Amino acid sequence: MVTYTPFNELEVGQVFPDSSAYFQVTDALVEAYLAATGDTTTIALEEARRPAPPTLAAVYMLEALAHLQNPPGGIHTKQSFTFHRPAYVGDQLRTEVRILDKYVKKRRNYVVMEAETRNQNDELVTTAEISRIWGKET
Amino acid sequence: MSTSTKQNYGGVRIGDAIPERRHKVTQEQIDSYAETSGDRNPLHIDPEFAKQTIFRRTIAHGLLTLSFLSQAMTAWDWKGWAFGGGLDIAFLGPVYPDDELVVQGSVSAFEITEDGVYAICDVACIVGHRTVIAGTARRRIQGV
Repeated sequence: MVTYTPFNELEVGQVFPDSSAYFQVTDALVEAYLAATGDTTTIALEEARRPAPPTLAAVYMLEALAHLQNPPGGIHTKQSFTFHRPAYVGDQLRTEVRILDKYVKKRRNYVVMEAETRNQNDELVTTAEISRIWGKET
Repeated sequence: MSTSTKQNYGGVRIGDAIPERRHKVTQEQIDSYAETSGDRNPLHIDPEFAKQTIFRRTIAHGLLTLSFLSQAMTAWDWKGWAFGGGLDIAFLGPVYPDDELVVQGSVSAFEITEDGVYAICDVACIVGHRTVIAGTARRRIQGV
């Protein structure tokens, strides 16, 4: 059974996960992501390795965000991404998430997080800031 | 970082439109995105759960909708998007299964930073008369 993190237990400055979450970019995952998003844009690159679509960040960052155990029913309210360089098939990525802020507005619990993903060469791949309404705790 | 008053960098002009794209969102696609992304929030995939929420029915993942904006930027200039590009948006409303969504945007300013020149674009995803995503996207101008 999944245990969800109560809003009251989240602390600004807290880092998730305690050790960075690793994520392997595979050809099958990129294919599945392109199919799921109906992405038919052609990425024309002269590079030897296959780049993933930039918003695959939503998938590899989720791996780290999942450690926060947001209760079901939460809603995404704001998002920023900076795509420093592509993630490529074969890359091993690691993402760290930090809680930047939490507040209550109109009786809803908001959590603001920043996430940073680097590749196996310690190069910055993607940075993000995410605001969510925390899911209701039953 | 500074904002430029020039109207044209590398062939990109203030007012240039991002080529418009349209997407029809289906529950099948939402289910598929949930499987691929691992985001199985019942609000997206469980009609019974969604009935109990303010939305009354399932809604698409915000990051699925956002991928359509990324596709528009990729089609416009892949390298300028993937190497230094970015976005800053708010999710303003839900996208429901069978909604048809239009991605639009245009260049509103240029930003000069230490590592290059960026076109700042006002962007939006629109369903009918509702704006469901609004904000800015940033494309690096190549060769400037």
